[in-house]
Amino acid sequence: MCLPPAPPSLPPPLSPVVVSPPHPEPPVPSDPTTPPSSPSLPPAPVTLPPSAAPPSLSSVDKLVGSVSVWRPEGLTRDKSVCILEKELAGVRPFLFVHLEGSSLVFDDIFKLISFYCASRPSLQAKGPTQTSQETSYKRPPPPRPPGLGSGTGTNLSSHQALTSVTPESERKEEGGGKEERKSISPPPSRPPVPLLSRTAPPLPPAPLHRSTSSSSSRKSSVKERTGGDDGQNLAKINENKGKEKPGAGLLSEEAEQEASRRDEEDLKTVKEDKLKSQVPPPTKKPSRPVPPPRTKPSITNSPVTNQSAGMKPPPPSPVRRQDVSLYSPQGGAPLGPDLDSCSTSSTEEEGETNQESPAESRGCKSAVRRTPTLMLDRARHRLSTVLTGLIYHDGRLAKRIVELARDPLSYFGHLVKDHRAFTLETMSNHLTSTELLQEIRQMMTQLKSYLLQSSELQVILDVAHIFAESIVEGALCKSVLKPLKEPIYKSLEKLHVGAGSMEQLAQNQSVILGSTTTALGITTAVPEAPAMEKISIKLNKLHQEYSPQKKIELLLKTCKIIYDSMSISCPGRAHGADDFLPVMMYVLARSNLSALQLDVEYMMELMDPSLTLGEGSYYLTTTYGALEHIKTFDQQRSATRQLSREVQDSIHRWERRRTLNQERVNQGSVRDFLTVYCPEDGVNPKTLGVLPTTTIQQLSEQCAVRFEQGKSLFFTPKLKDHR
Amino acid sequence: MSSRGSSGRSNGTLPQTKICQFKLVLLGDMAVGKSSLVLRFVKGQFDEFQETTIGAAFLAQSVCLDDTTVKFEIWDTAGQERYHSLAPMYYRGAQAAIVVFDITKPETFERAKAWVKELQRQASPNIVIALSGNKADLAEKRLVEYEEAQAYAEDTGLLFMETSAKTAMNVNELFLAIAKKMPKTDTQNPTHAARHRGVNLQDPDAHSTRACCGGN
Repeated sequence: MCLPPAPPSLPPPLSPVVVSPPHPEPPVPSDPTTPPSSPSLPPAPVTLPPSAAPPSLSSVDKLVGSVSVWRPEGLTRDKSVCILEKELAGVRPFLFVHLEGSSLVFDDIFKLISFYCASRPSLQAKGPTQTSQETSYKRPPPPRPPGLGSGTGTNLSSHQALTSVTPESERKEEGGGKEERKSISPPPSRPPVPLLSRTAPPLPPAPLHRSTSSSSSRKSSVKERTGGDDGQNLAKINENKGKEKPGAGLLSEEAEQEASRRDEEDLKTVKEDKLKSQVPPPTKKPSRPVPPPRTKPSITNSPVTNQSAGMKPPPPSPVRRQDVSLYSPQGGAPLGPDLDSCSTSSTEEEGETNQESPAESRGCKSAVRRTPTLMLDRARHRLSTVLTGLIYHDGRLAKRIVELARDPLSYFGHLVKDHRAFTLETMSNHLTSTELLQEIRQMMTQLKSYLLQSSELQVILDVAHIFAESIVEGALCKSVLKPLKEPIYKSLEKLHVGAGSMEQLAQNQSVILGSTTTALGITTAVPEAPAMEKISIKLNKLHQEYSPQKKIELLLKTCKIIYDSMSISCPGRAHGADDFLPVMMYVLARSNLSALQLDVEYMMELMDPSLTLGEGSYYLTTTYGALEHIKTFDQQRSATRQLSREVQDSIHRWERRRTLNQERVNQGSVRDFLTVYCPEDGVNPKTLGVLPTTTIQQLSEQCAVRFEQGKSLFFTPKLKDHR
Repeated sequence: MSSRGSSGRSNGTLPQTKICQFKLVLLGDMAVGKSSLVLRFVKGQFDEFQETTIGAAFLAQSVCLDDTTVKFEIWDTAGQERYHSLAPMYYRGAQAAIVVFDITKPETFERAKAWVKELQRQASPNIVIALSGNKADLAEKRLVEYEEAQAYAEDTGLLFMETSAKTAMNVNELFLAIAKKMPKTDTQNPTHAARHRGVNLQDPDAHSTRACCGGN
C-alpha cells in the first residue's frame, strides 16, 4: 500500500464508541440516567416512567457489575490473554452470544458489553413496573441457563444467558461458509406478534423496547441526541409519515396497517407500555408468519417502521420480542444474501431498485430453505411482500443518508464536509493517480464503516438491513464522489499529462486507427456507424457518471453493444476473447481514449471493495489491457512491446488492493477512533484517535484538551485499557 | 449490475455446503476452441447454476462436488500473438488454467507448451493447470498423438484430457477433475475465514498453534 498515514488534520470517520453518558435523550427530559450507548444499540430511547427513578449507574458501574456475564466463568486474565494472542493481528474476533435457539453476533466485546449494560438497567428499572402493568400475562420466572454466573444478583434472573462462544456457534458460522456476519442490533428488535402468541408467553417480564404511543412522546422519543438535528428531522419524517396514508401500491404499508390493527387489538388487553427493553428474545418461534415491515430487527430501519412505532400504540406483549432469532424468518438478518455478496446492487436511486428483485427473491428462497418445515406458504407470501416494501425503502434510506451528509449541522454531515475539504486540499500532493484515488477510497471506506456502525445513524438505517452496505455506499458516492468528481479528474489528468502517457496514447491511437481489421485480428463484423454512435453515447455517459459502480454498468453495456454488433454477421454464435478483444481495440481506437483512461482508473480504484466484481472485473481488465496495449504499441514491429512487469502485474495488484480494502471495511473503524460526549459541554461530540498503545490516562488527557475542561471531569478509573 | 448474480448464486445452496470460488483462465492459440469448450461446459450444466453474462469471454459456472460447490469464474484470453502481452493481466492471480490446443494442428500444441512454461514461471506457484487436446472428434485429421501429449502432461505435472466441444466428450470431466484438484479451503478471503472462526473463550488450551503468552 502506498498510502501515507493520514495527517492529524484528517477528520477521521468516527467510531461510534461512546464513553460518557451520551445516549439518545430519553423522552423524559428530567431523567438523567441513560444507559451507555454503543454502536450496536440503536438510539431509540429508553423510556422510564417518571415515577420510577431508576438507580443511577455509571457505565463503569455497569461494566463492573456485569462482569460475571461478559467474562466467562473460570477464565482468568492470563487465559484470556492466551486466547487472544493466538489471534492474528488485525483480525478482530467476533463474539457470539447464544440465547435459546438463537445467537447474536457482536463485532467486538464492547458491543456485547454495551448490549448487556444497556439492557440490564432497563430491566431493573422496569421489571416490577411492567409486571404491574401487564397483569393480563402470566410470567413464570424464566429458565435459568446453566453455567451462568450469578453476577451481582440483582436482576440477572430475568435475563437471558449470555454465554461466551461455544463450539456450536463456531460450527454454525463455519458451516455457513460464506455466510456473512450477522451483526444485528439486538435491542430494537420488535418482531411481530401474531395474535396467537399472545396467550403463550412463558417469558420473563422483560418489557418491550418500543416507542410510546402518544404523539407527544413520540416526538421526543425519536430525538436522537441532545440537540441532535437528526432526531428532529426524523421526528418530522415520522410526523409526515403519520399524516400520509399508505401509498398506493405499496404492499408493505397495507400489511403494516394490518399489523397495526392487530397492535391495537393487543392494546385493548394491555396497558400502554412506555418501557423499553433491550433484552434479546429468549425463544424462537420461526413458524410465525411475517407481518411486513417488522422483519427487520430494528425499529429504526424505515420510515414505515417508524411510523408504526410512533403512531400505533405498541402492545407491550413480551411475546413480541420472541423472533429475532437469526434463523427465524422474522429475524431479518439471515433472510437475504450476505452483505458482501449482495452489495453489487445499486440502491442509490429508486429507479434502479427493480434490479434487486432477483436477489430479493433469492434471499427469500434461502430463508425458506433454512426453515423449510416452518415456513408456510402464507408466510412466504408475506415475506415477499415485505421484501418488496424494503426495496422501496432502500431508495428512501439512501436519500436520507445523503440529506444527512449534506446537513452541515449534523455530525455526519460535518464529517463528510471535513473529509471533502481535506481531500481537496491534499489532492495535488499525490505523485501517482493510484495513490490519489486510493486515499479517496480509504476515506469513503472509513465513512462507510462509521455509518454502518454508528448509533447516530441507526435511526435511519438498520445495520442488519440486508442491503445496508450497498445503500450506504450509494449514498456516499452521491455525497462524497459527486462533488469531488471534477477535481479528481482534473488531478488525474494533470498526473497523466505530466507522465506523458496522454501524449503516448494519442499518438498510438492514430496508428491503431489506421490498422486494418485483419491486422487487428478481427474475424467478425465490427460495429457499424449506428452502433458506434450508441457506444460513444454510453462511453460519454460513463465519463460523466460519478459513481464507479454505475460507470462499470455502463462499461458492461458498452461491451454488450460490441458483442451484439459482432453477432450481426453470424447470429447465435457466442464470441470469446479471440473475437472480442480485437473488436474492442477497434472500438477504442475510435473513442476518446484520454477520457477512458481516467475513467478506467477511477473505476478500478474507487469501486466498492466489498463487491465481487466478476464480470465487471473481467471487462475492466480487458479495457485496461487494451489501453495499455495501445500505449505500448510498437509501430515498427506492428506488435506490442512486452508490457512492463509493472503493467503485467497491475491487475493482480489491483485485486490485492481491493482485498485489503475490504479487510479494512470488515475490521471497521471502531478500533481506531473514539467518540466522546461530554454532557456538561453541550452537544458536540469529540473524536479522538486511539492507537493500540494509547492508555486510558492519555485518553483522559486528550479529552481534557479537546473539551477544554479540567481533567477531573474525565474519569476512567476502573475501565481497563481494552488493548 | 450483472455481477450481482455471481454472488447471489451462493445463496441458492444449502448453508452446510462449502462454496469455493476460483478464477480460471483459458489460454491457447486462436481458434483452437477455447470458448467453445467453456460454452459447452457452461451450457451443459444445470440451469440453476448458470449465470447470464454479456458475452462468452467471461463465463461463470459452478460444479458440485460432494460437500463443496466449486464456482469457476472463467476468463478467456485472446489467442492472437499480437495480444500475447496482455495475458499476464489475466492469469496473474488465477487459481486454475486450461491450456487448449487443437489435435489437428501441431503448431497449437507447441504454443500450448509455451503457455504452460510461461504459467509455470510467472503465474501463481500453486496454479492448477490442465491441458486440453480439443477437437477430438476430428480423429481422422489428428496430427498430435494422444500419447505424445499425455507424456508431456505427465512430465510437466498437468491434468490432461482430449476433449471435444462439439460432442461434449470429456468436457465436464475436465472441469470436474480441475474442481477436485482445487484446494477446498477458503483461501480467497482469509478475513472471512477468520471472522467466522470465532474465538473459543472456554477452551484456551486447544489448538495451540502459536506459542502461548509468547506475544507476537
